[in-house]
Amino acid sequence: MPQNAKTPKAPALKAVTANRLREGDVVYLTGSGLWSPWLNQAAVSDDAAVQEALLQRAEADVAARKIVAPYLVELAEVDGILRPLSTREIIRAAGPTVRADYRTAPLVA
Amino acid sequence: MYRYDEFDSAFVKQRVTQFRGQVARRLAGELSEDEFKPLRLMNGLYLQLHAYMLRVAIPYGTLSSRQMRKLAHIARTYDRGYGHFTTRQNIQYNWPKLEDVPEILEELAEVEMHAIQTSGNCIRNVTADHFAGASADEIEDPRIYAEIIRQWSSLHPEFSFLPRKFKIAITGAPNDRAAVRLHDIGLQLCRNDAGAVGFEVIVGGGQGRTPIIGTTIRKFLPKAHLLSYLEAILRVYNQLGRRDNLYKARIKILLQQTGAEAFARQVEEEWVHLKDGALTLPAEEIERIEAYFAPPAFEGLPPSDPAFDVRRFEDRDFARWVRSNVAAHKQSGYAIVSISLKPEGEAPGDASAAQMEAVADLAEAYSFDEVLVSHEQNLVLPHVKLSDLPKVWDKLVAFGLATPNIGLVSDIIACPGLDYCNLANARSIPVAQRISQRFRDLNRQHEIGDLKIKISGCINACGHHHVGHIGILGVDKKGEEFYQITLGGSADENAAIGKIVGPAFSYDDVVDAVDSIVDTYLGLRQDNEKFNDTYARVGITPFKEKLYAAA
Amino acid sequence: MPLLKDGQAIDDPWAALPETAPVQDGTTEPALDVDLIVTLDQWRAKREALLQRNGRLGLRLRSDQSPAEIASDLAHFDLIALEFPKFTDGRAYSYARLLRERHGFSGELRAVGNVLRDQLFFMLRCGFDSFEVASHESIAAWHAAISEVTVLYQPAGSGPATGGVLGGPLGRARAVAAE
Repeated sequence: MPQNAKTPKAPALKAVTANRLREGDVVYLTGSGLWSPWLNQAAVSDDAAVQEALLQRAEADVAARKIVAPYLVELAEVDGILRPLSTREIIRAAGPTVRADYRTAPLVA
Repeated sequence: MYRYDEFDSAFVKQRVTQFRGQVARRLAGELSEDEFKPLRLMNGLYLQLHAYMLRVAIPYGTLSSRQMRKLAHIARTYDRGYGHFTTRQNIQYNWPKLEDVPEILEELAEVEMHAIQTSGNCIRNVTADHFAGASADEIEDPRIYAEIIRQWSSLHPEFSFLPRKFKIAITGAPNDRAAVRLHDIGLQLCRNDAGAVGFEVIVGGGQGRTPIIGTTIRKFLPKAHLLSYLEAILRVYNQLGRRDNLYKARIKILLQQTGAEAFARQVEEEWVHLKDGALTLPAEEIERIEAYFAPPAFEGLPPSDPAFDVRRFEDRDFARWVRSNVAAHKQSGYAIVSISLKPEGEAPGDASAAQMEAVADLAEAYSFDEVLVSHEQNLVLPHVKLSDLPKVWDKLVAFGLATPNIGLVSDIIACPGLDYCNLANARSIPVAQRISQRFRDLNRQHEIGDLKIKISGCINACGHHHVGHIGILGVDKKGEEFYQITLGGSADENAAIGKIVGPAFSYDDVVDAVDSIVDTYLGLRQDNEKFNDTYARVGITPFKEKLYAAA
Repeated sequence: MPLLKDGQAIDDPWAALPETAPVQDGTTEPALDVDLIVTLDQWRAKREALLQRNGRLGLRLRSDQSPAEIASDLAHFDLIALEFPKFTDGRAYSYARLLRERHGFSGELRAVGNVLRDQLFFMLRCGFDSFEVASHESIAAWHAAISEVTVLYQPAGSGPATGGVLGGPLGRARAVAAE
């Protein structure tokens, strides 16, 4: 936040994430309305209205008992690769960092 | 150890059926997530950073081989092949599927285990000394009373919606290995002047964002009154504990705000009505439970064993392991074996299914079928013959379970941290892994001696950082992981809260900082002074100067 | 709101005294013979008038109002309603037990507010005997809720037999037989 305070802040890129209700897996909402374990398949937007629409769609899937606890996650492009902004979300997307074989997903664009 | 009777079995089975119904109602849409959440939490099921997490209670940390094998089976069948032993003598599975959980609970019920009250604002799994039943300094086995409290607190109708979670710990020994001064209620078995055994009752200890050492509100409580007195404390707390602020809801805050004496008075006033009532423990019931914890059939053995002595003389690795991981037993010719779940570079407290099975086999063959889980995230074989120690060690080595570091600098307590936990601000486990790699020279570790490092990934302090000789608290500074270091904490009978040494260190620098603190200690210690003794003598300044000089 | 009592959904025979209503003197609503539930504030403000009425009196207590505050007046009430503002606010469980076990209250003890199926078991055991429930819950579900766990470890109120350490051999036998 503080670094960005100087320059006019670019609208944040966001995707919707949630967990599958039955399995608990971390998933991201795709453009076709499906839920994918891969962040690089997520529908991404920097338009607040679109983000809100994505979240609305997720809420419908909460009601349909497909997923739980959806929210918007902020992303950033680093070296051409789209990844979450926070350490928490990077770990959430890619799995625990404590052992290579615990990693659930590679972070790829 | 305790065995369920038909009553206990019926209870746990009914509870499984109930939860099966609740899961079905959730999946059928009859329960919303908001309605389901408290129900799943009451059965130890969380939704964590990556997935659901199931926390299974290990009452007072005691397991039979059969139970340990079941835990391994669950890890392999329903999870990713490993489990995580926690600082509250529980085990957590990090990847169960919601739809499998009723099945898992059913399997647990088969071996007299459950996940009831491992979460929620209720009385949690009662913890006890991990050397219970084996240590020489014990007045009585604390698990007798932990079991009695387990029964009394199971689905207690009045105390299932307390202001906040409630943790009780109990020890039977004056050397406190159960951190009783850091629990909502700590019970210390003691003798009064007449020689009768009862409890010192300590209330209002705790860690979290407001670490407080508990206060003794009753010096001696006769055994018969244990439950009525606990009920009095809980009733006062349930009515008066704060419910307006999550961070001020623990009993420690009530005790601070009311004043210890006034609080003790309120408890005594309530107790007047409950004393000698339906909660009075009949002597024969205490004896009945006591019988379950009767010492196993020890052989009469001499205090030394030639084969053991020879191996120790000839094999330096074995000797080093004995020095750090084997403790004196109350029974001549026996020893207590601590199994380190802190091998270099691994996640503290994690055990694979194969490791759990190896420990189960060892317990069955060499430790009267008993395993204990310590709050320091290690396992214990409580009753091993000296003559069996070489065989036990050989098998532990084969399974990567023989790290000779109990109580040493790499025997680190760490919470799951940001790698698993929704609440965390920073990672804990990788910091522990890196510290253990930095101190990989075991000779150096042994030269440093007893040193407890404890790491929490957020202020909730599940990693007990406040009471580490060196405590490390992960914080989030502008989206980056930083680590604040405290010195001089202790969880034992000399309980103390550590002091912050100065500005926090980055993820990259925190291991160097720990190294610097250890160096400072080694440079300053006299004779065989322990870390906290040196710290008490020289104060925080020398540590600070060295730490921040380079900066 | 449906009311659950003795395993049945019934019409609530009680009325609440509206906040603004004057306590009637025979000329205004509510009628003299209506069974009336009042708040603690209403009781304190209008005690004498309320005692002149013909209908029965009930008292509704918030979760921050302990029955101990009004122990000496309990004899005037045939019903006490204890509020659960949120199901997680568990103070009323203690209040209920104190009313039943210490103050000897034998009238209707009603759970009101955020009363959910899955808390019914605890409420019953603490001495509640009527429940103001949200309408969508079926009565069958409520029956299921109270029969799911029949094995009890701790004595509370005048509930069923207890097993475990506090039941002793006799209590255990009885508790298991009751399944």
